[in-house]
Amino acid sequence: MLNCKQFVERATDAEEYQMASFGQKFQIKFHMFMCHHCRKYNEQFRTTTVVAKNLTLDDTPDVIIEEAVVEMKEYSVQDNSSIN
Amino acid sequence: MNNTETHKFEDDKVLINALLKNDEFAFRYLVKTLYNPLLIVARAIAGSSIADEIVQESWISVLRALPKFEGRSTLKTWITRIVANEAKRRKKKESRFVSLDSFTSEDDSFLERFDSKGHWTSPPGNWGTASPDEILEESQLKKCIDATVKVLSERQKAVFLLRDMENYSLEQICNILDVSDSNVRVLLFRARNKLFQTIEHFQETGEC
Repeated sequence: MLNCKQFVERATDAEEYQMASFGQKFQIKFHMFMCHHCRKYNEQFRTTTVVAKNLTLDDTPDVIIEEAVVEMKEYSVQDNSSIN
Repeated sequence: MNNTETHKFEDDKVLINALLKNDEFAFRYLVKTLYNPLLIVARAIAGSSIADEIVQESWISVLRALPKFEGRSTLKTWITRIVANEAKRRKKKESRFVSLDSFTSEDDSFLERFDSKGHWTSPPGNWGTASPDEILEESQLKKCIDATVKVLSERQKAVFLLRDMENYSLEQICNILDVSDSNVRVLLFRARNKLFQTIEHFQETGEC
């Protein structure tokens, strides 16, 4: 039977859980049934994962965009001249 | 660039066609939306000092290679691979040693919450009924979460970004970052767990 630490290590990624064997899934579910701390952890960890999926990164600094656009324009001129 | 112009580029086909015509708005959209995620990937592979250079140099590589893009993945995934490959090449060339996270010594504070038999000694606290939306709407907590993400190690941040924010499969992440499956799982677990602990601590104390 899994202990709490093993449960925490194994039951935290949905994709990983889907790939687990029938026996492994049973162990995870059985542990959750028996242990209210891990039930709570699992529920709160799922919430954390949903929060994570809704996080956004900082905006790209304008100076980065402008530098890239300058490069892109130079490339565009070279590209057009090679076509012509 | 207004919203209508931005929205139309959310469609890969529209964006690709515009980029093939060297459309400046499309290019701005590309840099604006992809620079930060690509920077995180490049940092995880090649280190912070050359990551920005790698990403900035990749834009033109992307434009050059775009006519050969076959659409077998999304444009974002394809560009991420280009940047990842360039980062791997540069890392090799510059012989920089980027250390992997120490999987044994890091995050001991969480492991201390279990006894020698693997049972909780300090079980999870109560969050009440806080939903993900409620958590994200709590501005102070959102600041704590953002600060936590910023201080993740480069590799943790990259795995976390690719898996949770960008929805890549574990296999894709292994290929992009050249990290083994077990390492990806450890990095992901540690990143999520840090977030978990930040939320837990805030719910208990009202502080980061």
